[in-house]
Amino acid sequence: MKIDIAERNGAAVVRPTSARVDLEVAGEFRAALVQLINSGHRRLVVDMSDVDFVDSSGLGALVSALKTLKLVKGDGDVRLANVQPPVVTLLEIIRLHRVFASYPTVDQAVQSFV
Amino acid sequence: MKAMILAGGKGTRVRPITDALPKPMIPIVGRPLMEFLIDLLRQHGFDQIIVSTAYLSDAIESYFREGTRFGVQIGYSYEGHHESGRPVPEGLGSAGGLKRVQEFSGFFDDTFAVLCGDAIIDLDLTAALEFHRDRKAMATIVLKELPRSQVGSYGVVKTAPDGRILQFQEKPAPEAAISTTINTGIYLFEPGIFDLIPADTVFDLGSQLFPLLAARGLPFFGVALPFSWIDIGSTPDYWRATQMILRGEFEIDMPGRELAPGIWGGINLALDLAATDIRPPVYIGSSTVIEPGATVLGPTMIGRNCVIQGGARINACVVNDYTLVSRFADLDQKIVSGRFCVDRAGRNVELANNGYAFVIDDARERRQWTDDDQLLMEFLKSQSSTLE
Repeated sequence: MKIDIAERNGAAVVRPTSARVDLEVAGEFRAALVQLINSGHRRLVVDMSDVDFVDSSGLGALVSALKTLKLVKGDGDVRLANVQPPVVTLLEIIRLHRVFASYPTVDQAVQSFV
Repeated sequence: MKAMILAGGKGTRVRPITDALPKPMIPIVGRPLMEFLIDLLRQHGFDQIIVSTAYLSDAIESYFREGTRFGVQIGYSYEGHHESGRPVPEGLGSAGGLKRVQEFSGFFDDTFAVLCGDAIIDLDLTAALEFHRDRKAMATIVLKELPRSQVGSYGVVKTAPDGRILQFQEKPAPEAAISTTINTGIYLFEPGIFDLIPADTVFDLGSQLFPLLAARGLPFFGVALPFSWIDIGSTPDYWRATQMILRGEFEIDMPGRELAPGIWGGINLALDLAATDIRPPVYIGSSTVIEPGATVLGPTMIGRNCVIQGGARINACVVNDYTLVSRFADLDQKIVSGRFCVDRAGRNVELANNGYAFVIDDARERRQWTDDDQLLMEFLKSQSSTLE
């Protein structure tokens, strides 16, 4: 998988470019998030435009990043942008839509930190 | 009297429910769809019934057997053959299937009924039969008015004031439809129709026999009687049908007993109504446990041997037999089983077989959780005050 990373207005925007964020690619996804946090980033936006399925390992990576920022580092957040309908349904079923703030566009997600 | 139920279809539009179950066996509040048809036929004096089968025929035959339990005699016309033990379907079309039975034994020797095995109806078949005999019809089809937007999946007819069918159009584009009166897949025939159906040939009632009857000016009639008809053509239809039945819009004998107003259940339930939030109409199948702290909002149908954990929230769902709905699940307008989860529009939601077995699973499964599963479960537990 390719993960695009960009910086915008003080936030790191992470974009998985594969349709399925599952066991095969979750390691890479997790490593990218850890790397960003370790290098000092506290505002992470995950652009979910290309993703139509996240399995428990992919979601585990997101939750780990969130836990690290909120519980260990004490500040920062992981926010989602462009979440596609199948992923919205999944997040709703396990009620994680109440944990991950989600925005229609990357711009709005980035702005939400300001 | 004699009848035939067409039950060989694959039900591709009702997937994934029909991946393991033929459409006539889809459970409607605890009973297979086709059982409602058998009951209806018996009530109106049709007691010799041939069921045409092909796809997953064993499921149908091992449930209905000779029909004794249902007060009728049932025989099967298997439309296929086996190659080294593997079934190979050889559909002959709806009319070809009838012809096959007739060629086999000359079974249909008087007026007979034909029903499609994918709808629930409460039609007064006796009244339809009177109409058929009064008109001295060779074929009578039962009609229904639908909104124009919905007619595209059906045969559409144009009738004369006396009910004679002037024109028959199979599955037209809604804007090109000659009327909004549709064929419900319920027919009465005289054996004379067999003269028009070629033997050993794929031949369809809707697209071939009916246009032929109309074109030749034969006594071909349509009758519109008031009746409820729930066609299970697609997965969303199945969700809607269960909702209608639970709301009482289509009356059936509810199985089990009424535990509280509008809450029906089977036997051997592990359930404390005072410790759960269950709001009618709800049906709960036998040997199901609903743990304290679970929320079940009707209209919801829960199958047999299910486990609904405390903290689970279920609203307007169909939960099939042997499904575990975990404390982490919030299900709104879904059809779920241990194998699949689909929303009310028929869209698949990947869960159990894709790493979310801790949310919904087969209740019989024992799992080893991965580190990610553990992490997520612990996180969800830690967030439970936010999440509820």
